[in-house]
Amino acid sequence: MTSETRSDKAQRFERDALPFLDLLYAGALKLTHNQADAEDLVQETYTKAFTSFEQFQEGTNLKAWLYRILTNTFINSYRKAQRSPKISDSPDIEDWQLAKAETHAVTPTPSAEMEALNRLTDSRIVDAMKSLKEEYRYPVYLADVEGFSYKEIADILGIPVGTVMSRLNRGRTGLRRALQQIADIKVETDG
Amino acid sequence: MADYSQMCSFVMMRINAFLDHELDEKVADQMRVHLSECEECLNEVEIWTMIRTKVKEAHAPDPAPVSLLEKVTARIQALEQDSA
Repeated sequence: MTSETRSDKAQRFERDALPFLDLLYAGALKLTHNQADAEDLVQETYTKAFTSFEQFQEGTNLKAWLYRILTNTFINSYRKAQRSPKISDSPDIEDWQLAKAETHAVTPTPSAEMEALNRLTDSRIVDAMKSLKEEYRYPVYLADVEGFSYKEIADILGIPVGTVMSRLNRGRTGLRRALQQIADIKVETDG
Repeated sequence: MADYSQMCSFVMMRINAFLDHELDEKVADQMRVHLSECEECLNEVEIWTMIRTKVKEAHAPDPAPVSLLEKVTARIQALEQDSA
């Protein structure tokens, strides 16, 4: 082991892993909800990633590997200091979402729904996402925003692909109901 | 007619997997055939497509602070020196 070998590793790591800094920071912000914790989380993620970089298999998805470290680090260390709900199994969607699901009468027509959705601002969309439990929101975020495949999300979260699919289903259904509810309010006040 | 509505529920249940490109091509083709002749299901596809687009747009990443890149780089260099 020469110091040159190690420095090659550092160079390779910086070249390959550092370009994901913005993405990891964005992901960290979604998990921690504040800048200072997000920065800490990203630093810790890169520290762990560098330390175990030998374990990364060249040719596999580095972004997904980094995301898995980010997510695990968050669950293991930051979670303890926070009161937010866990990324874990829980059978329930929010009660109001279930209540809403049973009231078919208020479901808007497709064109009305499209128009209402189209008018929603980014912050209303973010609000709707935030109304989901984290175990549903995070898979939806990883799929829709980061564009990860089901298999990659399964690796990141350490859960089976089937569980990813069911969480995505519930997350998206919940999201759509939340958006409908937000949009309904807007439609009424516009009237 | 019963078959038709069965196909609708088959399609409705798989719209997001379809949009995620996570379906077998054979199933995806069945979906495409059905979508070409069922306005209701096509409406659903449009709504989900819009929701997904809106979600992605609403979460455009904030760039990381410049100082964070410096901190991360400094840590990597420190780790390098520790192991040297």
